[in-house]
Amino acid sequence: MRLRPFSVAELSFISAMIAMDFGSGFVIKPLLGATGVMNVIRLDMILPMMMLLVTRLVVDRFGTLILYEGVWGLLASMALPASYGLPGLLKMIPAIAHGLTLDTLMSLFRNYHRLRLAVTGVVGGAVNTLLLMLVRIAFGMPWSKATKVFLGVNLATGALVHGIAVVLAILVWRGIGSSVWVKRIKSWKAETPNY
Amino acid sequence: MGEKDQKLEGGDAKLLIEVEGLQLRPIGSDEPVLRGVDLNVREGDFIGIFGESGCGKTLLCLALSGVIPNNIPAELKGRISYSEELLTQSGVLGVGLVFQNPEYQLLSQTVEDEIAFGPSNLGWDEEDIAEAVSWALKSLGIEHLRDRRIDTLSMGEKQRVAVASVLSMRPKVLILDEPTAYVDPQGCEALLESVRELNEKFKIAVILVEHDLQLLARYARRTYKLEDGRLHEVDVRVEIAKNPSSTADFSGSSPASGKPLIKVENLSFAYQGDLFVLKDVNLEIHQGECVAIVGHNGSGKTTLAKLIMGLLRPTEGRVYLGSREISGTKPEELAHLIGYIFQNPDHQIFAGKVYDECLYGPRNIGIPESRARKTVASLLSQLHISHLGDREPINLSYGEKRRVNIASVLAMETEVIILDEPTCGLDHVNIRRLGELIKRLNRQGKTVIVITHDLDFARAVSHRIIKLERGKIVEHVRAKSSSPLVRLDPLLKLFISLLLILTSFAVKRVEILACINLLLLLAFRLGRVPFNKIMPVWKRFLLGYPAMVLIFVLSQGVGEGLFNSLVFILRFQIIFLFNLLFVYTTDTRRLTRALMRLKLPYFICFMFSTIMRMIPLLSEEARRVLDAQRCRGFRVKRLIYPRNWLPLVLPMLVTTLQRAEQMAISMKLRGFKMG
Repeated sequence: MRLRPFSVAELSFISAMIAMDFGSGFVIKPLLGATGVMNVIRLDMILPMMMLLVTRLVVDRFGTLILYEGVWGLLASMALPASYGLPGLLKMIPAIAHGLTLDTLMSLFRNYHRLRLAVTGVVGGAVNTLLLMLVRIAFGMPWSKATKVFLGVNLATGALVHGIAVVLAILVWRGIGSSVWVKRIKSWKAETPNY
Repeated sequence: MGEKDQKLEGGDAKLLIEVEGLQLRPIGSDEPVLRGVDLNVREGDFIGIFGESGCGKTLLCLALSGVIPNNIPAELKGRISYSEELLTQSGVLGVGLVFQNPEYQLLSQTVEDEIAFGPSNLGWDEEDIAEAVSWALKSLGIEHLRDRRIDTLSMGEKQRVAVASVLSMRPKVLILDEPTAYVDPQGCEALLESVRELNEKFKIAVILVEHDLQLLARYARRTYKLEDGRLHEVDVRVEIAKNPSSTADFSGSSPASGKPLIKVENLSFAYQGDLFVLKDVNLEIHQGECVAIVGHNGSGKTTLAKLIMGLLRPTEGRVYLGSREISGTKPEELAHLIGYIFQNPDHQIFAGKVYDECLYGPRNIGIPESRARKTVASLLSQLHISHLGDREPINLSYGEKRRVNIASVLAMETEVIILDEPTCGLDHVNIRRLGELIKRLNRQGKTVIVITHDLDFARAVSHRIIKLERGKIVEHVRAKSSSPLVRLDPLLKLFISLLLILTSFAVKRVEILACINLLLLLAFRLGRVPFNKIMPVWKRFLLGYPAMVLIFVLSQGVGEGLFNSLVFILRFQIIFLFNLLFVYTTDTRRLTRALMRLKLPYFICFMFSTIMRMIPLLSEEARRVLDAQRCRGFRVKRLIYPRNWLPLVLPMLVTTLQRAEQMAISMKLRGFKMG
């Protein structure tokens, strides 16, 4: 079976979401940093996770989040030295794995938005934490020791952050899900023009 | 109508587009917006179209350019037929479309690449592409911009590049949908003069959609009013006579008196180093006064307003509100005193209903619910949007959203109101209504500051006009460096990066790792990367190192722990420093081209390039959303609760969706294919 290619609008939307993911990070992170809350919990992770979920709801097909995370990873490997705790192009591995996990989970329970978001958020978050630790250990990263020590804490805070992201995604989807903008991106046609 | 015009309209000129009884119902609308549009577009035509906000002008442009229904589905009846000349072999219609905001139509990183984008997608050979680019640049009078980066251009220059990028595909019809909305009068004149020349010299048919009737009278040979879903041919001079000015004339009303309410003393502001956007500005604004601040794009108008609102901290000087110094005060603390109406309504709209949107600000600053409701009802009525109270604001037309946006800030009953480009996106009827509202506010003793490049509006509503000149060019142009590291192939740098990573993990000798660190620091000198650029990022990691040492010592004992933590820090430094070096010495355009050489799929390279261009734009949009909400009393500490993220996140996402669609339309019209 051959997968339908992404439409130009879907591609533009995914690109715009990745750009907003980076762009909003520059604005939100310093703000949250100033509140001191980031010392306790990585609230800055809420927005990227919520954006992933909303992206998949708008472009609701398998492959969306793999593409999202793949391109994100490519960008991060050049621009964000410390993300994922992995150097350079190695970031691509957990990024694509994360995309694959989320895409697979989002393909379940398609008719139950809340359920699929909740399952993806919580299970995806936990799988992501474990995956990241495995990759770090597999590549012999020196800080894999620290990762192992904090695995339990990471799992708990990760679940909390992902849970908040799910709630936010549900609220956001309630706000924009039926909007003209979403409908137009979803229904953008890719066929040969008929003039 | 002159002899020349009659000839152009008559049978001699070739018919390019024929629209008959076009009815169009877009997604999300219960009724058709266009209800029987008839229009003939001939070679050499210069057609002007105007109409009230939300009457369907943009929909008509999308239908004429073939985007509706070929890409954006809509229920369409009637007929649009194109002459054979407009149908190219590649399937791309010979109709160019330029929107009001050029930012999201420009997809490449340099002017030359942008203009070559369309012809490249059409599969033209290199020679033809080069010729088309040169011709388009020359036609728009922007040859000097050829090698410039898009992000260093002014709005006026960007709009001309947007037209050139469409023109390079040699369209027979050029549609301009409010092209002057974001451009100052000088930029607007330069753009439309170039378009007129193209129209006269090359017989390119032009359809200009514009609110400004004076502009239509000056340039268009035939003018239509889009009303009740139909096009009515009108004499624009008669329309101007009916509305002598697009704004009401209030000059001379409500003279200012008393002590200054706002006092600006020796105010200077620089975004970076010594690049001053404002220098030594002194200003006094009295209670009940309406002051217009005018100037070119980039002259510092919005910066001055943001400094008054507390959105920016002055580099030098002070701002007083009454006797209280407010320089550096947070905008949320000033929200009950100063209302700021942002240029783009999408930056603050998030609520499910117009009514709730308007109540958001008053609720935040603690205005009693009953009073707030009464004020909102009155404002909605004054702005003629009472009927929209229960509608979802994000689905309204731009002009309607603009009025919701104005009502939502005025509902906060602040003493001072700042309006940033308030006429942008409003038709002349609503501009007049807005003028009347400002007059009423003045009479009530409110102080109004209007930032605008619309001189007519400024003259009509204000008591005083303050003109800001751009003292210095406020463009941030990355210095061209002749550093060998900048010239190094990005792929080679990526390879070195991988090699360094592997080496650093294979080696456990502190002296070798320290040497690599030193070499990297030397490379920073070689790459001419100033240390003050990397220090803020580096500092964050430096602060984390003691914690890592502690973890290692606690888990491995003092001796082994100290050694291993040192190895860890040196390894981490290598990766981190090289990454920073890569970012600061690699041009994104060269990086994109390098990725293409890696034979990655074209669409991934294209996405990469587009994202690199969009990150600063969307980051700025995110900041504006935050500023807009802070001015309505939003407090950052509330972000601890997920529900409170909505006022930030929803407008950000709506903006992203809109930008994505604009980009998609721009890509499609310029022949982009997924192959």
